[in-house]
This record gives sequence, structure tokens and C-alpha cells, in this order.
Amino acid sequence: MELAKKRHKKIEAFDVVNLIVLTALLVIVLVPFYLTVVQSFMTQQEYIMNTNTLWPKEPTLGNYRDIFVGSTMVRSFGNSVFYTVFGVIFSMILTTTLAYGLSKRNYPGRAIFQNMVIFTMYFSGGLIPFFLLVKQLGLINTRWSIVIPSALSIFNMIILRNFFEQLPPDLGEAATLDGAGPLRVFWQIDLPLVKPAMATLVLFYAVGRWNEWFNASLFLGNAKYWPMQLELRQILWSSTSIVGNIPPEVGRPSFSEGLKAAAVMITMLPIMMVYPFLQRYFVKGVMIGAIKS
Amino acid sequence: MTTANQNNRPLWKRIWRNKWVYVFLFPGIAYLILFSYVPMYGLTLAFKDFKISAGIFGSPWSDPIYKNFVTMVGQPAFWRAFFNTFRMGFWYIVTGFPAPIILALLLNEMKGNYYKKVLQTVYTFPNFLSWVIIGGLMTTLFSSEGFVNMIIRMCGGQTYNFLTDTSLIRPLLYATNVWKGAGWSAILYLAAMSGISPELYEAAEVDGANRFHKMLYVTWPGIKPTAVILLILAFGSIMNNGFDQILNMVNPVVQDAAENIDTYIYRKTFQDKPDYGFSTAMGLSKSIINFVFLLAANKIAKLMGEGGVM
Repeated sequence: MELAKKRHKKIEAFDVVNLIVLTALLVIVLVPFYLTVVQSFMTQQEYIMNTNTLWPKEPTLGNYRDIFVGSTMVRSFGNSVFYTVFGVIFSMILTTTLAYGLSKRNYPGRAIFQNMVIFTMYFSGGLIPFFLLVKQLGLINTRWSIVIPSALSIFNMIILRNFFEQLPPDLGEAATLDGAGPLRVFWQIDLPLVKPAMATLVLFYAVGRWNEWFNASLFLGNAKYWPMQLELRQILWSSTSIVGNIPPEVGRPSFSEGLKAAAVMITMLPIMMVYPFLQRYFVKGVMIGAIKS
Repeated sequence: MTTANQNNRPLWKRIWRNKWVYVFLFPGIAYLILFSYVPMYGLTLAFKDFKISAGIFGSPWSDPIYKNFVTMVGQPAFWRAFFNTFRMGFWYIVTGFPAPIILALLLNEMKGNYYKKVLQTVYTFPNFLSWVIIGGLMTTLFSSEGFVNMIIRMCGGQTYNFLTDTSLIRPLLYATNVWKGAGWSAILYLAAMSGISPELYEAAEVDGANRFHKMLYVTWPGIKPTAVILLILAFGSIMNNGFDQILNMVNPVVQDAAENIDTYIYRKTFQDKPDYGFSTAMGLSKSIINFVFLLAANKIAKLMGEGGVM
């Protein structure tokens, strides 16, 4: 008791400094978000004239209105939802079946399959052959070019495999004796037991899919199929005097800085809304990942 | 016992007994063959003169066979990108590795659970945003109309365009990389810290250790294995830093200052006139060097008794 008290007094100065430092870091993380919110409510005139970016003098909803009425953001939102839903389903099917298969023991060829999978983590064909493959498969300019390639994360698969490996075998064996087939053991006994791990992987995959823009920029020339991130990227890079990485399309309008900020806000919103509720699951996920691998 | 029994059976019987395992393996393995191993075969393009009409298979071998590599080493821009990859990779590690450790140590010393939770939630959030979004967010800070310039003007200074300064673009990349990732990586260290026995701290207190002694002699040894693994992993992927980030934060004015092999391959192929054979030669060189780095990293991790990464 006395010891604890003494400790408490002695370190007060450090605690104060620590609190200040951590709060300063909090501000540093939050400032860009705040500025973007403010900017999204500004007209272009105010932005250009501006001497104070901390508060809009005449806040306007015009930028948000322009996005919902005049631009293609809404369409791309629909695309992103499509890619996220079907992409996650596809990724989970691949990840779960592979993890389950690799978790089994004593079948011929086990070492070969294990090494074959692990090797892809070390070595890859790189960008060009990957691009040419997708092109040759005829996926270019289809939605499947976003759903199918880059669907399997070996890292995620290993996490799940470790979970399957640690399941007690008795349950499955008992069910088999009762006449359950391997599919039933998988579906009704083993899969429910790894549900928490699977939920975490769904989150990781979903965030990855939602944030995906690079494959889309390679494979989708037709803006009709663009996900939100690519649409946003086009907006962000378009009206600057400096042309971005994507060659500008003829006839695309330039955008005001306020509209750019509003587009950032709208793209960010879905993650912002779910994140506070799901944060602990993400954290759980990174911890199991850390402990198991 | 049963294992020995099974191993004595003929191979086809053992395969038949386990047929369901192969059914489960099939989709994933087929997928990897198609999307990982076929592109590896595609690396033969590095030794070919690519003709679009002929495809990877049909394109003729180049003459001499190492022609694309001769072109590669003759390009000053390639060497600039090559050395820049390591220079930037080094600074990504120097900035990105200690930041989460320091953050975790500070958070660990903090009292008051509620505010600590809030802090952690906010710190980790940027990790879940794409570089497209972060590129947009950072413009509000650093553009000529942005927040930093507003402060400079308020202090009587001149507007300065940070985003087109070749000497500032790289530090800006390192800083935003920390801004995005440090909070998330700190969780790994906090997890390791929560595994340290409280008795160790109590014992240290009895010995008269103050807070900094405890940090140094109890907390640090507790998180050191995690730190070592993460450092080795970071060196193992030193060539893979920043691709997405650079494409979203670096504009053409300062492009050369922040060019690495990945972005160079990308720009050469998809913005200039594409020469797939030449681009693949660069890609193959990168894959091989990267492979060596990963093997070395894994080996070192094993030697240090951390069990390796794989």
C-alpha cells in the first residue's frame, strides 16, 4: 500500500508529460481529418481566398450535393460494395478450404503442398506476368478482374490453418464413427469451432477489398466498373495542374478542392462508421496472428 | 501405430483413403498454380522479345539471351531507382521500426483506462485507410493552401509548396508512413507487454527500481523478441516499401526523388511505351534479390532462436 502510494507521488511529473505527449499525438492524427471535413464544406472561392482553414465562413453543402447529383461517385460506391461482398466470399472460400486441407495430417504429398504454398510468400512473378495473365484470361474490363485475382492471402490462410490444427480430433472422429461424412464434419463440427478466427479474416479481407484501387487501375479501362477508391483517385489527381499517374481522360471535368475533400469524406465514411464497433475484433485478429506466427 | 500401418499400405490406397483432403486442397492449390506459378513461368519473358500477337509462349527468345538485362544495366534511371529502393527502405525502417515501440511504451505507462482506449482506437484508425484517402488527407496539411502554410503565413512567412520540393518528399513519405502504421503496430507490442508477469515489476520495485529502470530492465526484455522478429521481417521486405504510397503521394515534379524499382517498373510499363521483356527483366532481378533478403532474414531469425518466420 505504502509502496504504491509512494510510487504514485514520485511519478506525477512523468505522467503529466506522458499525457501531454500522447494527447499531442492524438491531435496530430486527428488534424488532417478535421481539415478535410472543414474543406469539404467550403466553396472554391473561399478556399482560394482563404486565410483561415480552420473554419468555413459560409459553410455549404454544395460539394456533397455535386457528388450525389453530378458525379459518378454513387455508381462507384455500388461497384465497391459488389467487389467487397463477392471478393470476400471468394477469398473466404479459398482460404478456408486450403487451410482445412493443409491442417490435415498423414496424407501423401502433404509436404509438397505445404512447401508449394509457402514458396509463393517468398517469390513471385511480379507485376508484368501477373498483368499479362489476367489479360490472357480475358478478365480485363470485367468485374471479375477485381474479384478473382489477388484473392488469397497466404498469411491469413496460415492463421486459420493453425486454428484448425489445434482443434481436438476426438469430436470429428466421434462424428465419423456415427456415420458423418468428411463434408459434414467440416461443415457442422470443425467450421463452427473456428468461427471467431474466420470473422476476423472476413474483416481483414473486407478492408483490403474496400481499399483496393491498383488492380482496378490496371484492369478496368471502362470507368463504369470503377470502385470508389479509383474514382476518388481520379478526382484527387484530376484538376491539379500537375497530372497524376493516371493519364487524364479527355473531357473529364476538373474538381474544386472542396469537392475533393467531400469525396475523401464519402469514401472514408463506411470504414469510419464500422471501425469503432469492430476495432476490438481487428485487435484480436492481429494478436492471434502475432501469437500463432 | 496406426501411422506406421498406414504407411505400409500402397500409395494409391492411402491417397484414396484421404481423398477428401485433396478435394479441400483443390481450389486453393489450383488458384495458386494459376495466379502464382503461371506468372513465375511468365518470368521467362525477361529473356524474350515480347510480341503481343505471340504472347508469352510464342514470343521469340532474345538474342543474346540476356539482351533485356543489358538494356537494364545500361539505364541510369534503373540504377537510380535501384539504389533509391535501398536508401528509402533503410529510412522506412529507421523511422517506422522504433515509432510503434515508443508509442507502446508511452501507452503502457499511462493510467486511466478509458482515455487510453480512446487513444488506441484513434491511433490505429489510419491503418485502415487506403493511400488514396491518405494522399487526399495530407494535401489539406501540406498544399500551398493547406494548414501548415496557413501557420507559416500567420507567423509572417512566405507560402511554400512542400509537395514539389525534392528534398522534402522522402521525409514526408516516412512521416506519413509512421502516421498511418505506428498505432497499429504498437498493438503487437502492447500485446507482448500484457504478457509480462506483474511479479517482475513488483520484484523490481522492491529492488528500488524507478519507472525508467522498469521500462529498461523489465518491459524491454519482455517485448524484445517481438521487436527482433519485426525488425528482421522489415529487413526481409526492404524492397517492398512504399509502392502504393508513392503512387498516391508523389507528383511528377518530384517523381525522380522518390522512385523505387516497383514504381519504375510500373511507370515504364504502363505510362511509357511498354516493353514487357525489359520490364520483366527488372521484375525478375527484384524478385531474386527480394528472395535472398527473405531467406537471409528467416535464417537470422532462426539463428537468434526466434524460431524463424515460416
